[in-house]
Amino acid sequence: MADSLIGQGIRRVEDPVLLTGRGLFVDDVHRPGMLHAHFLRSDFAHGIIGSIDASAARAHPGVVAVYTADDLGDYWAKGPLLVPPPPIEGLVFNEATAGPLARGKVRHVGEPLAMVIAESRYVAEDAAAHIVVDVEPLPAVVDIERSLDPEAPLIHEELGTNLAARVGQSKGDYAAAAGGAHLVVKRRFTYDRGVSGAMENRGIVADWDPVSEKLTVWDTTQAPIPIRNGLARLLGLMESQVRVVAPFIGGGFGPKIMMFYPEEVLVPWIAMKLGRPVKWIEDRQESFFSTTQERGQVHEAELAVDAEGRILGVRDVFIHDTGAYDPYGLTVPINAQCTLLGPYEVPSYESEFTVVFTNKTTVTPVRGAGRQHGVFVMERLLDFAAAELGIDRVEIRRRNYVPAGSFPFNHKVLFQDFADLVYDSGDYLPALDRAVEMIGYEDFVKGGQAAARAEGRHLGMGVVSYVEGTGIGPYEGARVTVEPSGIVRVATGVGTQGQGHFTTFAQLVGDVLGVGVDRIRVTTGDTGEFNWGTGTFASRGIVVAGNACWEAARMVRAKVLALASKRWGVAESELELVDGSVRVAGDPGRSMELGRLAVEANPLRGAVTPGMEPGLEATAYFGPASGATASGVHAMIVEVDPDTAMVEILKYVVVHDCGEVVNPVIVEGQIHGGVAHGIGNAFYEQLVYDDDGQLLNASFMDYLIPTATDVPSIETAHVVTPSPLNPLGVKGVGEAGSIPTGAAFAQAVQDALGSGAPDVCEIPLSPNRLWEIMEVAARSGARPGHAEGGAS
Amino acid sequence: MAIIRDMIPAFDLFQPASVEDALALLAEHGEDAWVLAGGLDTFDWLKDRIKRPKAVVDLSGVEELTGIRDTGAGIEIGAMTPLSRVVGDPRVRADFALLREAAEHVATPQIRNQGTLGGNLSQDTRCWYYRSGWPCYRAGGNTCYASAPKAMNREHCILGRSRCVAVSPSDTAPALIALGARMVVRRAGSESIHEAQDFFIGPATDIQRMTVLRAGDLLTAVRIPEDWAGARHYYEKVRDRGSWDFALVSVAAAFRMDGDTIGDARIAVNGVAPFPVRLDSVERMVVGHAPDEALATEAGELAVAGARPLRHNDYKVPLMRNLVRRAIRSVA
Ligand SMILES: Cc1cc2nc3c(=O)[nH]c(=O)nc-3n(C[C@H](O)[C@H](O)[C@H](O)COP(=O)(O)OP(=O)(O)OC[C@H]3O[C@@H](n4cnc5c(N)ncnc54)[C@H](O)[C@@H]3O)c2cc1C
Repeated sequence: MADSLIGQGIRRVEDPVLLTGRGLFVDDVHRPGMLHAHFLRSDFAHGIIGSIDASAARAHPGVVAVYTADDLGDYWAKGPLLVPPPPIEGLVFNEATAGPLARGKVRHVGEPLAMVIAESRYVAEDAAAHIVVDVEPLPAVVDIERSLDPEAPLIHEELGTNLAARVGQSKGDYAAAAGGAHLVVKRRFTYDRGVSGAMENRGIVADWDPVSEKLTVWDTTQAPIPIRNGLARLLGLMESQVRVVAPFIGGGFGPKIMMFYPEEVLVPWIAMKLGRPVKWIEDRQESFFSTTQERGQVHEAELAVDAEGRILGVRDVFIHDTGAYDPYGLTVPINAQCTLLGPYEVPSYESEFTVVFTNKTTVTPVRGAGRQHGVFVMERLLDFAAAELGIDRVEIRRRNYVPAGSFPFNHKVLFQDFADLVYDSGDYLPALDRAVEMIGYEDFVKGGQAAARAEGRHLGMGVVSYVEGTGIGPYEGARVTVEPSGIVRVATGVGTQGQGHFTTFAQLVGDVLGVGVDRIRVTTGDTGEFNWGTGTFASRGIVVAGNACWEAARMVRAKVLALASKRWGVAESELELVDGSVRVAGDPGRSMELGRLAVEANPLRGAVTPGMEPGLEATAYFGPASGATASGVHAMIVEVDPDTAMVEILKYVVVHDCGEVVNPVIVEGQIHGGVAHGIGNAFYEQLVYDDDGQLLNASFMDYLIPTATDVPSIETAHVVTPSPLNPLGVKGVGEAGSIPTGAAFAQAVQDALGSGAPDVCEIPLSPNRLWEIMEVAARSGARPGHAEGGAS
Repeated sequence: MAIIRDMIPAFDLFQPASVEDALALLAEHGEDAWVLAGGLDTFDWLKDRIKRPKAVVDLSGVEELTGIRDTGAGIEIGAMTPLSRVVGDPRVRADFALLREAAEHVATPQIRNQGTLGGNLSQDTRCWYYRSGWPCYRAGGNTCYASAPKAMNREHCILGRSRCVAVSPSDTAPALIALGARMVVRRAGSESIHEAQDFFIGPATDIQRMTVLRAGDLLTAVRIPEDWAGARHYYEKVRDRGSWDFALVSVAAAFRMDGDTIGDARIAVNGVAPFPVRLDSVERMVVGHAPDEALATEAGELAVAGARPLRHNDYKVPLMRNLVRRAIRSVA
């Protein structure tokens, strides 16, 4: 194949539809006779529900029904434990999942208490104001370090503790390593909570058709098939009676995974019960309280090194905040625990984490899903060790990388997919060298920084490494069909929230079939189109669904070749697939459009003979043995204004290895978006809870996410170490951008503050936090301090 | 308190075509009426169902309130003039560039297209306790949540507190104070003119209002006299993000130079008190002196004299000090 479609940075085929406003989002779904749902939510973080009197709301004109937990009857059930804990010895796990409407107790602000169904959302919201809720407030558990205090109120009485889990993993003998170490650096790290901040909030429309006895659900989910399966089970329907459509979705980032949110469980049920379509669209403020969040962890960590800075061992004890419930099991803290090891050889590791319940919104994976915490801890420890040993920070990383020849590399700890943490392939040094060159490291440390400082400018650089476990199983599937029109249809079960699947999957299929992407129609996230699969998470779309698409296309190609070779009596090796046709190479007379061949493949007589299926269609599945490990290096230069404590990013470089690159434009888009996300985490985004568990900044006016002015232009380069675990050699890239940003940012800011500044061991930093840090530096006489006379 | 609602409850909408009609409607509905300009502040309050007016008087059809005209003694800007028009106006650009710069720092282009100068000056504070509907002093209650011992108050005031510690959010306000502007306020049957700095009132005067405007009042125009036309100026707004963000602290200053010394100066800061603060003592101190480093240092010190930070806004003290210094240095 002369010019392969794979590897080309072609423009996204979905963009014209999206940019001209023709994409269907859940809120665009309007059905005749549709009703609207509104949820009354708890004002209290913690309390005992006395009574809920909805009689006035029920009597409100335009209200069709009001439901509380008591009105749900048998339908009230606790939600599923989505990911059970992995089989780690000595593991403690206390399960607590939420029912669709709070019963007995409320455990976080925003927990739904009642559902109002009305002719319009306005009426529903008006009526909700007339529901009288009697809640006896209890003290709230907010501080994750106080959750296990004996005097802390119990969030789930039946568990008798606020402990959600405790997990220890170790390898080697850390105590011995530390005992014999030249240096042990110990620090305490905090990484605070945030929201995913998807542009589109959650939403669901359910429509029950009593004639065909079919339920159609439009849902902003990342995993339509598990939602379909779960709903069928809950509603007592056959899976074939339920169609879940995840149309275009304005960002997922994790919280839209198969959560079985209360709204997801209730809206289809009520639509069936009332025999009318029902819509619920989450508003932004609601999203801040009820869509799952991520990130609260406190680490006490130490790193033991020898005199050359070689890692002898790491010990990390951390607390992870799961919020009010733990439906997603241990995925986030296990990711933090495993990803901490990064691209480094760590001979001994002792890690123990404690997961605690708090009276805050539930925590589940958000882009990075705990990986950034591990990377932050490890990278900062290396920085501090390098500083104390007087070793260059790039050099200390170089000395500790897993060498290129040692893959697959087994860290001998258990990862989130319950398999050993094994890196399939990688080559870390070239990425580091490239990043160092692109950011201008040598010039910067050998003079650039000092020269700027002489002019009163405080510049700092950060260079950090990371790995990202991607592309885990179990599997995805795809069906590829050549239509009589010549259009190739591709259907897969994963959902799409902006990752460019329509383009990359089309490239993979088009490459195999010799068809341009403009002649390929990809459908994702519609259970009516494809029946099997799990969903979009863990940076797995291209790895798992991509390989399935590719394999299905190869099966169709085999069919095309078999039919054409029979038709023309030539060997398959003499055939080629070009421009939507199959032809005998070098013989323009013997050529046939694939659409026509598809018709020939489905004749009225003799279409199916043993070993043959009709048409040009095939379905394939792909399940990797384990996850593919992507990796990379981020480097940045920041400038801190000592007069204002404002930080500006002057340069940002990413060198990334996600194996074979199917579409570099899309890969870069994923990285850019991830870096923007990471910058938000590092400097702007912090959920502020008060002691009563009230979230104070539940709006984008007060919870700041970065805007275009705050995200620098990002230079990217690729290193390619193909994954041996899948035929395409690809690895995931969805979360890469956001994982190391905090670590890079902290190192750069620390560097800008200069020696004598206190250690930067927390994320997020904000101007007021930074100023407090600078104040300490100024008092201790270190530069820059908050310029007293100040240079201008 | 999670007041989770997004739909505006019903109200009576009035759309007068003249100032007279608007004033009559406001007189008729008194405390029940709400003036609607660009709606950017208004709709937040209404959607959150925290303010629930019975009657909304929409000024968008009152043409006489929009536009910028030369009065012979300066310019007059109608209250309904969009901020983007203020930014783009050639006369503003030529003579009152300080206002232009300040207006250009408001939020985003979309918001400047929709937001009006009158609305920008009359908008309510952004204190998140107050805006979430907590029953604080400003909301008619009997406590201030933002100054409670463990409150998060990084955006709150360091000066001028009086039970309430919220700050004035307007970017155009300090610029108009520095330019010696006057606000024209009308109510049925009367008109009053206020010096810009007197238009804004603190909680000590009335804890439930940010400006002199009372029920029935309409801010109709802002007049900027020639006094500071073409003056040298300095504007700087420090905010967390590069756009779409209120000021943490901002400074607006106008200077007349007398050779190498400052002949006259007007300096205002915002984001530090419940009202934009005119720094008259700093003005008096710098006039007649060369704007050297020593003067700048002294000016910065004087500016923050008496500042009392809360738990999380210590940083605003040096920030304000440094911005005032930069303003003085700018004319060196
Ligand atoms: C996302 C966002 C970011 C923002 N960022 C900034 C910023 O960085 N800097 C900044 O300065 N501002 C900012 N603002 C405020 C914005 O610039 C508007 O100026 C402000 O919201 C009000 O202007 P408006 O014309 O929309 O008035 P409205 O919202 O309609 O009115 C605001 C208030 O003033 C009253 N009012 C309006 N006009 C009159 C009048 N003529 N007479 C009497 N009363 C009147 C109204 O009754 C109401 O109480 C921001 C707003 C938003 C939504």
